[in-house]
Amino acid sequence: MNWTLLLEQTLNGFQFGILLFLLAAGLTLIFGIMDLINLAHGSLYMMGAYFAATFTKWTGSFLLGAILAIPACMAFGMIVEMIALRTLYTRNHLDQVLATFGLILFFNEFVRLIWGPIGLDIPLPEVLNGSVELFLGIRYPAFRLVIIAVGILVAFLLYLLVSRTKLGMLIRAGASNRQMISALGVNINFLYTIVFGLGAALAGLAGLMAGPIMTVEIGMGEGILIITLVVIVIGGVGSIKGAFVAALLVGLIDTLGRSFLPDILGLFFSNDVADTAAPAISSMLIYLLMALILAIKPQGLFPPRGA
Amino acid sequence: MLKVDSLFKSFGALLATDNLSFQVKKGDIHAIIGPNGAGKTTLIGQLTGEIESDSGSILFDGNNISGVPVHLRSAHGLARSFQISNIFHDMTTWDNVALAVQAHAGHSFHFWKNASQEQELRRPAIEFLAMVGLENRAKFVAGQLSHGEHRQLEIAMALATNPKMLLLDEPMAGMGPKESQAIVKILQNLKRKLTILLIEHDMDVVFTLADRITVLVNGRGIATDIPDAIKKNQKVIAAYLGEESYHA
Amino acid sequence: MKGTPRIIFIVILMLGLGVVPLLADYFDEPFYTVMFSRMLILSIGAVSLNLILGFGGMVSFGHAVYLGIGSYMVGIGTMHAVEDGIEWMANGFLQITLAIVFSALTGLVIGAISLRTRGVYFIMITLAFSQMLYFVAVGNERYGGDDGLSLYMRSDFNGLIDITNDNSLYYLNFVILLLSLYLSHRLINSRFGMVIRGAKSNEQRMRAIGFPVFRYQLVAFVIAGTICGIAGVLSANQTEFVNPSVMHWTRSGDLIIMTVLGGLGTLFGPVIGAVAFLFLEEFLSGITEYWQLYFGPMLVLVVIFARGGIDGMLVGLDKWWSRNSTVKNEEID
Repeated sequence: MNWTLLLEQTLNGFQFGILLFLLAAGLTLIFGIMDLINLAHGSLYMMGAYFAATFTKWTGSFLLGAILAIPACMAFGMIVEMIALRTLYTRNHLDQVLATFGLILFFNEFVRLIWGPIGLDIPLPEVLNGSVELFLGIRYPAFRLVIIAVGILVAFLLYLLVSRTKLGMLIRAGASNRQMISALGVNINFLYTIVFGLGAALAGLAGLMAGPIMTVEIGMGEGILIITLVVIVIGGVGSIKGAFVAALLVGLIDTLGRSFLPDILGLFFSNDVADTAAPAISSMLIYLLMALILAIKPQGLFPPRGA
Repeated sequence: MLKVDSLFKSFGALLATDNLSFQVKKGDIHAIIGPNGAGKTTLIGQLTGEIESDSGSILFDGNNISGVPVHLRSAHGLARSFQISNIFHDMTTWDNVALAVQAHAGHSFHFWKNASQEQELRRPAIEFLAMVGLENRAKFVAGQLSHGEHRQLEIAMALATNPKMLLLDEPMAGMGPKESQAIVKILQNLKRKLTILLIEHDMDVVFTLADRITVLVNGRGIATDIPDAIKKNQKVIAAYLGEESYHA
Repeated sequence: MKGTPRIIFIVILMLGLGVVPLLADYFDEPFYTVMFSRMLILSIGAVSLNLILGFGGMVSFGHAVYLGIGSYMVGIGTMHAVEDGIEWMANGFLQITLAIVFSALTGLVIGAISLRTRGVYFIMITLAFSQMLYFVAVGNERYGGDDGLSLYMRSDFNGLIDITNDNSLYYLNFVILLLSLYLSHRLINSRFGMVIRGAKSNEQRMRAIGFPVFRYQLVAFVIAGTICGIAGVLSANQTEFVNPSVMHWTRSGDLIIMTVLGGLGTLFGPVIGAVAFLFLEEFLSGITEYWQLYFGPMLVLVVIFARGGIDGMLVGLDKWWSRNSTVKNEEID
């Protein structure tokens, strides 16, 4: 048993899970409060990466690039919300799916128009580019540790936001009773725009952190969107806590599964069988997990408000 | 016909059904009345199977139906109408009732024959519509009917499943005096042929129709008796004092 | 028969589709036969989706997966026939049978799990499962993986029809489309169809009157998947190429768009929608490289404003027409 590999992959799993959490939190928040299923959430992730790439190039610093990209994403998200999404809140889910699907097509082309069809790179500063020594002489990429740290910090801040602040209270209340909230004199439109902006910022953050380790390219949002959907289904649509737990679970199972499944299968079957079956089964793992959880709890692990 | 025994249901800290017991005699029109929030909706939910009781039993025609899923209760002979008209708005009135007939005409894994031409379904459907006075509206899209006609359709659909007992959830809801009279007549015609459990706010209707009345307050049955006795029951009067829902 | 605009439109459309190869041959533009052939195949897919989406209200976002299954039955069979000399594996009848069997099984499994959920969950789960199978195909190196398989021959139908000829394939597609339309028509008017439609209209009521909704929806789901699987067989033969992208979730999205565009829950809507969608795609991509820039927002607008799809607009046209005709008749009298 290669313990180094196990530790490394476990950390990778956490890191992937954190990225998923940032996406899932936004998506589940938007769904829970505005009842809007937004397929274009992956596009916001993509915009985060592209904005960061551009700002990093302009300022020469990844840190500055990242700091600028987040509000840019938030603003971008709010503009999209105001122009295109407002009419969808009262529509049924099929309409929302179709409309946001149309938005994906648009954003992909939009990015191609402005940034060209070739992917971009986001260069990391020296301090983040190396690896850090953990215990027992095991080294792990510094940047990935940063992702994990940032993610945990954001999770904590989100928790504080939702449970301690007035905005958080409105978010929680808005989820259960829209009319009451507007009756209290709160501007629903404004609240929704802010919430969407928040979701966009989270997605953008995920995108800009993923950018340096994966390629920044058109359509990068779609693949991770599907996994994000799996995460919120497992966690319970509308629940941030569920999103956190499910994201880490999915991240770990997917990463560890892909690394170790060939070996695990190799214990029971011949190497030939293991080698051919492993890739196929690894890709299915998280979906099998989803099916399993739904069989026992059809509303996910932590359905909000005991729906 | 129906025996509810020591039924309990809470939602968190709220005790919606509190040790409720009563019996409905076969052929009776048995009314359940009570102020708002008395737990009538929760009771209906438990009778229809949409809500699972915490404890207690529900015996229907001798059978314990406590765990039986919603779609099978109809097979047992329990049919319900909805308080807020819950019909198939985009289908014709005839189709609405025909579907109810179809539900009890064997399985529906028939893929070829045109169901709108099956006399086995259409004829009983039009008869049930006639029973509630809607036969002239058969070909109209149900969504176009008036509110009162919706309530009539509700009853027709419930009848079309050939039930042993009809559970009527506030059939008079939102109806003017003339429309209410129409429904009362329909129900009077059904007396003795069917057992009816009637949840209602309209006291005139209740005292006109009911053979027996159960009064529900805060989830608890405070009295079950014949109408005259209920009128004089001290506990009932106390519960309704200051209660605005008593229609004069 | 009343000569309403809508009926005339549909008749012209179907007749038009019927004579495409003849016209294409006459004008020596075989490209059009191929283009319309593709429309026919996607129409079949849309007709099958309409059964569950349009009539049943089940928003399945993974319907393209059956196109994939059907396609791969052809791809795998033909590959073995050509490379390993196992000739009977290229047999069209066998491939269609396998496509039916595996599509049905897949529909059964996916449906059994997904149909226990509702609303957004259902959409997301069907999406997730189809993507899962997409990745299985991508990871399957033996059968092409990401690059896919080229077909060196089309399915062999024992001499009954020779679909190596593009026109013959076109007519095979056309006949199967007509058959699926007819099947669709019988299905939705049958008792079974009434249950499915009733469940879309008011599921709670269906349960209250005694229908075990789940099993009917599952059967509908399986039937829809199976018909789409057959479309997959045709698709592989058409393009002579099989790769995982045929079941990518965006293809499922395309099918939904076609069905909605044509008019949900109408018999010919899917055909209208598929034709319109592909025409639009052809037309726009001819104008600009960035056609999706316009297509995307167009989609959003259609969703927001044209609720009943093209068929809905035709129905509106009908109403306007009958109002005007009645007036004319009265004037004559």
